[in-house]
Amino acid sequence: MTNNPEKPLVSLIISVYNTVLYLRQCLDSVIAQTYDHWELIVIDDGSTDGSAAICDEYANKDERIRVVHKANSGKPDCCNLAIGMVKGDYVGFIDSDDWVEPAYLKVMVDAISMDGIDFVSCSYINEFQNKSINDYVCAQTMHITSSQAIKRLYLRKLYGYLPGRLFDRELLQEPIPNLRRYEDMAVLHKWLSHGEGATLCTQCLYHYRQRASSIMNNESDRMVGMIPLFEDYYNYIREHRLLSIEENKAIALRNLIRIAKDIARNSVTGDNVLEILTHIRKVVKTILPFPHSYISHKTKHRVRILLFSVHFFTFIMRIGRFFVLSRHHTDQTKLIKFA
Amino acid sequence: MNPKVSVIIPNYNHAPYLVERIESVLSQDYQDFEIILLDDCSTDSSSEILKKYEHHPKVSHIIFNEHNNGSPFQQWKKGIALAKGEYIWVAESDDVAANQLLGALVMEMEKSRNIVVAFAHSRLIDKSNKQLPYGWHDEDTNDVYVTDGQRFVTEKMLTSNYIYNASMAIFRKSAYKLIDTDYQHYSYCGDWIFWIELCLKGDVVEVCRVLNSYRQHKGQTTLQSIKDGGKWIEMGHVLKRAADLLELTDIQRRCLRGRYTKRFACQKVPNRTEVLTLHSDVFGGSVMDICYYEFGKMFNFLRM
Repeated sequence: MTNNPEKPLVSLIISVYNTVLYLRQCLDSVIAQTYDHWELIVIDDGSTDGSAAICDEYANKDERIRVVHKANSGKPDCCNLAIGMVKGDYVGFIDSDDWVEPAYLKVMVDAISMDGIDFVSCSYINEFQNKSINDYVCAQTMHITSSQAIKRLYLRKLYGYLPGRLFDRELLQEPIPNLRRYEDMAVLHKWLSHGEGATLCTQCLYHYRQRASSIMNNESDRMVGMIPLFEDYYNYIREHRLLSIEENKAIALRNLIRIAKDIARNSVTGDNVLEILTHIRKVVKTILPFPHSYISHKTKHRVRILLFSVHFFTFIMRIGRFFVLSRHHTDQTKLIKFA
Repeated sequence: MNPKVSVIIPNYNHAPYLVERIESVLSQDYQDFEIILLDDCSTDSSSEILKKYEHHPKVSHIIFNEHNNGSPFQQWKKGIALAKGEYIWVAESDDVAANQLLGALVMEMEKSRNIVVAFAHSRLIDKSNKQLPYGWHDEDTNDVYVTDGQRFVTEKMLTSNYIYNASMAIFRKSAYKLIDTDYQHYSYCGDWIFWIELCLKGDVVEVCRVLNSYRQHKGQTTLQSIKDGGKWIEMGHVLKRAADLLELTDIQRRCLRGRYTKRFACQKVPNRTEVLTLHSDVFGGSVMDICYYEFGKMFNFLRM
């Protein structure tokens, strides 16, 4: 493959594990791209349902596609293996059950080619069986510095996904940690910290299939998984001085106390709530004293209550349940997820 | 190894102050910088003075324009394109800096990567280096404020250009790459929109020490622009753009309109009708808008 200066080579990475129903749609959408200077690395993670055969079929059909078969070891491992194999200047990820618009690469490459930009995110389309919903990452296309992007990630205003984004290859220095969930978010801030600028696009180009079998089911479990993640963010940002000390503290406290609140409020007797809250309290203590600015009174009061007593905190938060009026049931409930 | 700071000195007919300017840069306590000298086809003895510095080890580029460019902001852009440093200091050729300026600002910038602009305070001086009896900031308080850019712009940059002199601020080059290049086409208010766009890319640090001297001339461009009315037209553009960038709410926009309607009505403007037809949504507010502004001041709608 030649490195054409006008048309940079883009490497796409797909890791496949038992998605025989959706794989063809995904691979077809890559082949149909209007931007043609790409290579596709498909890592078959020991599929048992015939996905492997489909991968091989496509690899024979198009020489830009390479397939690697390996024993099952989890998605982060596959991505790390593929990152070692890329030849392109830019790297993108696609989930094997999602698909992309034909203009996807064209738009992303145009955006990332701008001077000083090394990360691009497009907007998403959440696909349900009966409905597709546009999910914008921002109100209007914007160029931000990478530390602002990390701040957005930290504030949970920017999704911690790898799919639907395009990275400069220089960014991908750390391997993706082998976690059960949030492995994307756990590495994204590290990658972004090597970069300079990021672009967020409003074009919805990535179809994100909502599946019921996803591991993100248990709400409380999901929350607990976030705690080490935010600890990691706090320490990393402090070490690398990505945000000011005050702001870093404020966001960390805000995130942790939100998790504590949700866990305390939604818990039922028998969960190990007190253990989790005690752990959160320990983490919060390392962050204190309070920053002078950036923090709201609400968060401050909640932190004080948590420091006073874990039991009292749970009690107060549970009282809050009575004041939560019954939520309006929107269309959300009627949406049917894919198998 | 690239220098940490690139100092850009754009000159146009400032020969009497040029030596003092360059020496004040060279004698900074913080020494990790390169100097880029730009001359916009001066008609006085500037070029001879500049040529003396041609082989100085700190001077990395020296460029003489063949024709006068007119806009100082074109010169800024040219200098920034040549710069290799992480931070950029546009040191205007008639101002003077205290020796601690660069060191103090770089130290603050190093504290976090999210900081895009750091600036110190200035005093105003006249041609003979005498301090003028008025000015924005006259006293050192030694405070350092780190503010989110969004907040800084709504609080301080909408009423007027709070970073009134480019010589008192340094900024991050990676953030500069992300801003719109529209500012070059302005002739008076280019720096205002430049700083607004830049500040919105991250945090802003204000170092409350008077470390810079801003020289005032008679017949300065700012004063000239007020006389011929060009200032108002550009101001309208800047305010509209700023309101869009900040995504102000309707009430905030009305407050802003009230403020500028009031100011516009009070002052002598030679081209009043022209400005009003162009920017009726900034300067042509009603009495209601002014009321909004006055009440807004009391209840902090806009924090102006």
